[in-house]
Amino acid sequence: MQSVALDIKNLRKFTAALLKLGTVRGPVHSPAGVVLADITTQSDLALEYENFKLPPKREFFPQCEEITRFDASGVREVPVSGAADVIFGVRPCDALALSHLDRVFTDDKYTDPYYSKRRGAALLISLACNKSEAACFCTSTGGSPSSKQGADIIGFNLGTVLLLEPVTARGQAFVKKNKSLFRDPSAKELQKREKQEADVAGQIPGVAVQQAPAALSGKSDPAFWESIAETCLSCGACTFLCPTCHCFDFNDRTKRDAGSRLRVHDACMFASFVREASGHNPRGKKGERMRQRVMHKFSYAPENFNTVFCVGCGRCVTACPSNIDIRETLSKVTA
Amino acid sequence: MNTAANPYVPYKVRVEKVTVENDEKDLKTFRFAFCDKADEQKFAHKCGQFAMLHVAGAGEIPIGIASSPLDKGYAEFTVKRYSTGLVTTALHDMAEGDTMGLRGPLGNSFPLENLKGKNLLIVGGGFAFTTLRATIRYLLNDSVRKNYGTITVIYGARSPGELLYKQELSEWQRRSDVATHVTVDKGDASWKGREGFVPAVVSQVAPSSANAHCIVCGPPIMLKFTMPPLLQLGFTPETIITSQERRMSCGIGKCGRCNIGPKYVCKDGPVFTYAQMMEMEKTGS
Ligand SMILES: Cc1cc2nc3c(=O)[nH]c(=O)nc-3n(C[C@H](O)[C@H](O)[C@H](O)COP(=O)(O)OP(=O)(O)OC[C@H]3O[C@@H](n4cnc5c(N)ncnc54)[C@H](O)[C@@H]3O)c2cc1C
Ligand code: SF4
Ligand code: SF4
Ligand code: FES
Repeated sequence: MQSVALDIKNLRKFTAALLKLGTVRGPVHSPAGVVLADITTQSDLALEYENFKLPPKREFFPQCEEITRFDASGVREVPVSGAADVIFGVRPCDALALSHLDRVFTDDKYTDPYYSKRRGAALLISLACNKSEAACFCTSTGGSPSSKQGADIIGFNLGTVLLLEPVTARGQAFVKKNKSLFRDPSAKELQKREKQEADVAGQIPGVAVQQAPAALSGKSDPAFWESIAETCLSCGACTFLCPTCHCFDFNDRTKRDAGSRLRVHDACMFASFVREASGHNPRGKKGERMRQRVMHKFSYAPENFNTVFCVGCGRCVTACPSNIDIRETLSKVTA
Repeated sequence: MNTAANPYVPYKVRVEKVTVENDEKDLKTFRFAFCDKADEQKFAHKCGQFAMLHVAGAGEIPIGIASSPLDKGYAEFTVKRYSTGLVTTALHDMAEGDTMGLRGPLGNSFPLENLKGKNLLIVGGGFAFTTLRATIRYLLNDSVRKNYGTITVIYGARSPGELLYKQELSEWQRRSDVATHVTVDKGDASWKGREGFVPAVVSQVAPSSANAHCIVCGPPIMLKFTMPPLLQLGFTPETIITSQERRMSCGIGKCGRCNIGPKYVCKDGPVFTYAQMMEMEKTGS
C-alpha cells in the first residue's frame, strides 16, 4: 500500500494519536537499555535501538498468567487482561514470529482465547531495522530487515522522517484516519528507504537454513546430537528468549481452599519436560532435547506449517551461556 | 467442543461411583456425572478419545475414556495411581459426591466407521485396556454389532488380581459373538484360565488377518513384542492401529509438549497406525 511520511518533528503528535487508541506499548529508554514498555506521554517513544532483549511474544503470551480461579463452589474463567491497543516498534523478525504463533494459537479446531484476544486487540506497527546485530540472520529464514508479515503498518526511520507503509486494512484505516499528520513522501525519500533496506540486508551473513529441513530428516544419529549438546546446561534461555517458542504448562496454586490455575512458559530443553510419572523419559538425554528443539524449528514446523519456526533474530545465539550457536549447528547439519 | 468457548475451562463433574479394580488397589474406575446436563451433550465422544481430568490444586492429567459413547448419563475413566504422582494420588483420594473438572473429549479416535464390515482383533495389555474396553462395549451393543465381522479380544495382565473389568470379561466370555481370550503372566491357585504373555497368546490364538484390522494397546514393551507375531499373521503396519501416550498440558496442540516427531499425540493422535508410528519415531522421540 501507499506509504506516507511523518516528519520526526511531529513525532509527539503521532504518539498522541496512538495514545488516543488506548494502551500503547513501545520502545522506551530504561536503565536496562531500550525496552518494550508502556508509553504514557508524548515524549516517551525512543527510535534508536537495535532490538528488544525480550521477545514481544510476551505481550500476547505472557510468561505467567491466570487462566481460572477455583474454590469449593467450582472453577471460574478469568477474563483476558493486559491487552494493549497499540504495539509500536517491534522489529520485522519478531512480527514475522507473531504470524507463525498466530497459526499455532488459532487452528481449524481450537482458538487460544488469551493469545488471540490480545493479538486481535493490538494495532501492530513494526519498525524496519537500520542496522543489523552480530547474530542476525533473518534473510535466511524467510524474512528481511524490512519484511512486513505480521504487522499492520511498517515504519522506516530515515533520520528526519518516518515513512509509514500500511500492510493490512487495519493499518490503512489508521493512516487514513490520521492523514493530517502525514504527507506524501518525496521520490528522494522513497529512494533512501530502498537503499537503506538493501544496505542493511546486505550486512547480514547467510546461514544454511533452506537446506536444513531435508538434511535434518536423515540426522537421527544420537552421537551427532550429543556432540552438539555436549556443553548445554539445559537452562532454557534459548527457548524462553525465542520469539517463536510457545511451550507452556499449567500449574495450580492454592492457598487454603481457594486457588488459581496459571499458565506459564515452559521449555523443551528442561530435563523434566516430558518425564512421566512412571519415571520413563522419552527425552532424558541432552542430545535428545537438542534434537527436539532444532527439529521443531527446522523440520516439524516446515512439515506442519510450511515455514521454519526461526526468524533469525539471533537471541538464542547471544544468550546461550555455553556459546551454542544455532547457525553453527545448522552448518554441521547441512555439511 | 465449541471453538468459541474457552478450551482450557473444564466441565464440572461429580464423582458418582468409584470401583477398585485390582488387588493392589492402585487402579480405580471413576464414574462421573455432569453437573450441568447440557455439558453431557457437548461431551459426546468417540472410542479411543481421551479427556483431561482436573483436580483443583493438584493439576490436570490426560486419561483415556473407558466408557462407551452409548453409555448415557456418565463417563468413566480407569486411573492408575503412582505413589509419586501428584494428580493420580489426589484423584484416588476423591470420594463419591466430590466434584472436579473434566475437559474434552480430545484427540482422534479409533477409525471404527471405516472398519465397518471388517473382522476385528483387539489386543490389550495391563491398564492400557481402558479405551479398548470402551470400544468393545460399543461394538457389542446390539445396534452396532451387526456392522462388523468377527471380533476377537486378547487381553492380558500380570496376575488374576490385576485384571480390569473382571465382571465384564466373564460376560464377554459367555457371549458367542465375540471370542474373548484372557491371559495372565502367572496364575494363582484359583486361576483356571490361560497363562502366558500377550505376544505368545496372539500366536497361539492366531486370528486370521483376512479382511481384518487389529487395534492394540499396551505398555511399550508389550507393543514391541506383539508386533512381530501380528505381522507374521499377515497384519500390516497399515492394518495395525495403536494408541500413544505422551505427557500433555493443553491437549489441543498448542503447548508443544506431546509431540513424537512432527505429530502431536493430543491433536493428531492418540490413535496412529503402526506405519505412522514408525514414521514419527524416525524423526523424533
Ligand atoms: C492420551 C493418554 C491417555 C491416558 N490414559 C490413561 C488411562 O486411561 N489410565 C491411566 O491410569 N493413565 C492414563 N494415562 C497416563 C496418565 O496421564 C499419567 O499416569 C498421569 O498423567 C500421571 O499424573 P501424575 O500427576 O499422577 O504424575 P506426576 O509425575 O506427578 O505428573 C507430573 C506431570 O507429568 C504428567 N505425566 C506423568 N506421567 C504421564 C504419562 N504416562 N502420560 C502423560 N502424562 C504424564 C502429568 O500429567 C503431570 O503433568 C494416559 C496418558 C495419555 C497421554
Ligand atoms: S531459534 Fe534463535 S535465532 Fe531463531 S528465532 Fe529463535 S531465538 Fe531467534
Ligand atoms: S541457552 Fe544454551 S545452555 Fe541454555 S538450554 Fe539453550 S543451548 Fe543449552
Ligand atoms: S498436549 Fe499440548 S500440544 Fe499436545
